[in-house]
Amino acid sequence: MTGGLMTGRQCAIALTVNGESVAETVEARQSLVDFLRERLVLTGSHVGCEHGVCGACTVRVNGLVVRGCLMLAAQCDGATVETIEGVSDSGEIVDLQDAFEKRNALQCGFCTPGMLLSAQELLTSGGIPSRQEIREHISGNYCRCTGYQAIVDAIESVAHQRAGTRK
Amino acid sequence: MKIVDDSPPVLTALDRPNSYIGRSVPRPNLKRLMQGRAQYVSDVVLPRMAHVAFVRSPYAHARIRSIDAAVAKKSPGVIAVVTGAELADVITPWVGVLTHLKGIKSAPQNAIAVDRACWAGEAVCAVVARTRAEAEDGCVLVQVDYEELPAVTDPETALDPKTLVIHPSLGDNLTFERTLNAGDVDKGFAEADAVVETTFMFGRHTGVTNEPRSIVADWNPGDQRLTVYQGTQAPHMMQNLFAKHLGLAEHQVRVVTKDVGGSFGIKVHTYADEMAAVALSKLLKRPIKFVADRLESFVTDIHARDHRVTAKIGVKNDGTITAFEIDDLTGIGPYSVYPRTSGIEANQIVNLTGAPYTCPSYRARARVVFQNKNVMCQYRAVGHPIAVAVTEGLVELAAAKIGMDPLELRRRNLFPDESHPAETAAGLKLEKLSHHEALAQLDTMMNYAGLRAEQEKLRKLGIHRGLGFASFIEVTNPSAAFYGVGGAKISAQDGATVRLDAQGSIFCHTGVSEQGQGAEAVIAQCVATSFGVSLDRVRVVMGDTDNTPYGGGTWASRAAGIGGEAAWQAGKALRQNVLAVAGSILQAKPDALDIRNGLVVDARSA
Repeated sequence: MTGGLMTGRQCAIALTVNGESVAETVEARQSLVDFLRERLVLTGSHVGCEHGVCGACTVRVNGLVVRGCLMLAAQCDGATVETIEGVSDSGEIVDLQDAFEKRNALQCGFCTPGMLLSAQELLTSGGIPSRQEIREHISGNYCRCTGYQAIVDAIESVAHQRAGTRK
Repeated sequence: MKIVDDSPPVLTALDRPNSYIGRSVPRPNLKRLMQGRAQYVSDVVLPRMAHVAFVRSPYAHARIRSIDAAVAKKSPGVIAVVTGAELADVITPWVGVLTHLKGIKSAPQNAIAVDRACWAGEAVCAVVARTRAEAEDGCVLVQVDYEELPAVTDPETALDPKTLVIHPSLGDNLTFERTLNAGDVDKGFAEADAVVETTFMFGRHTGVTNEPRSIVADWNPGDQRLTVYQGTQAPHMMQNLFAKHLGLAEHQVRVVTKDVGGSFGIKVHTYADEMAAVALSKLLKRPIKFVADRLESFVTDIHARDHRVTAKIGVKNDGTITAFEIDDLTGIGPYSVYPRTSGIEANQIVNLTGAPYTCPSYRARARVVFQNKNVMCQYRAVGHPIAVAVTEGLVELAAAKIGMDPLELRRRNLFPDESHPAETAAGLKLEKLSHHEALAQLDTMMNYAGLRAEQEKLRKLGIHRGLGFASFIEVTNPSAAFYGVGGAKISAQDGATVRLDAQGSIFCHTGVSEQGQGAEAVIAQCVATSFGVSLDRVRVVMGDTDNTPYGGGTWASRAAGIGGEAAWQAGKALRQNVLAVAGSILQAKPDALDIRNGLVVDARSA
């Protein structure tokens, strides 16, 4: 991953988004989440605070969860970017989505794409996290509706499910 | 902690097929929300759409001497720079008063400030550009010459004669005052063995929805129609207001509300910048999008609950409460918010203080004053938290003063369960409440005696553990007496239209809308149950004034109570129609037939 080629205020970037090759010229100042939402119309990543606090813009870059509002699109030349649309279509998080649905772990749903990506990051790191560890890991994803209890329940249940231990 | 059981509840003898009411069912809209396939207003893109950003006043109070937009107009991507005076040709100002709040007054509020800004954050100029970023670039280049004016900030001194009057034409800074005098309060305090008086301070706060306020307005001069995509709790109310202030008939305005990223009561009001976006669409004849950023949300989303309440309680040694008295003061910014006014929160505090208790003597005064801060208005559980905190704070203090167990003091004063229908000192009519039953159950469930014993034991070890209680009465599903009677076109009723498609699925069109609390699921549950069809055969259509019956929207817990009832009734009516037709065809009496899982069956069959 490198910075794209700059021409004035513009920057040429080539990257992979949800498995598709994308080559675009972007404004140097454009954030990754604005690029995804406005240029690629991947509106599943949301803009809540624009300063890295709320987590609604959470996406995955080269396998790591990042804040789409704190990263520039220009930084993503050569990167592999995955959004909620990608991980939903591939079926990667279908168990998490089922658990969220079953426990009504979302209300308005605005935080949910970011919440699911953060949860998936925690669960793919292996082991069964404690409820405290779950809370710690999603502490950068604000939910204003649910009060988190059902979200923690859902993530915990999937951790057990994946480990084959029933709880 | 135990994870809730995933298995559905066991069927009881009372259940019939397709009984979904009272059940937890998966909400039909969750999958799209979880897959990033929702459609929030902030996601909406239309052909020729432009974006607006606002220049906002950095001063709490300032005269606008001049606005120089020459440089901003030449900024790349900028389409138009529009001042308040220019926009006033397209949209009329509004005044946030209701006739049933006697004496409430406010000044005309413009979509964009004209001549004067009255709070830090009020929009003073709009910049429309191809992108939001370019609109913001333009904002930086707008030169506003301000003359800073003295600001009124402290509600305590807002009514002092030497304090500046924010709107001179109103005569003073008093928005609204309500007094109430029930029973004989002086006698009540005179008869009390103990009187406790204290002051409660409540700070401003706001809803902070994850998705900020968002609107896309699309005036189509060809159709002479305005379509507004808006994250709102009350689409029909907004339809009425857009029409009224843009000089249109209601049928020319369509309000569409898809997914809403949190509301909590802040998205049920009229916001000047949203009105400006709509007016700009009319002016510029193209779609205009406005999405508040987080910083402007903090200075423009309504604030709430800035109250100072001085309160007094009288109590006898046997625990009988003999009198309540409160004096509430609240500062609501420079304008009463349209159309629900900024007087309702204080009004609710007067209505609800002391409400669970039989004490007939209650005196209250609430004063609502103007100040140069962001506007304040109703927000989730309007007034309840303050009334409850004050009442229950007083009850706890009174119990401590006479040395009575606080739960016991409540037990001696709550309206008896068998006394309903009853009326509170403030005149609220109560129907079938069960405070005593609830209190007894709470006592048992929490093992109150055990906790008190433990508390005492721990205190000897230097560990201080608190135990507190609050009883309250919640006002929900309000009637027309809340807003309609005062002149605001906010429906207290809701309609539902149901239709059967050719394959036996049900479409239900409802006036209430979804903002995450599950209204869509509730409506589906009601219709599926009353008609007799499985839940997956019900499609709910909501949030579109062109395609749903007139309704009040989703606030004050009314979506399930009123919208749900309408859907239930509509499902029942359709069921009767279907059974009448089936009776003719099958040569049977309609009451001998039933609809189960979408099939007409013999009612006697198992």
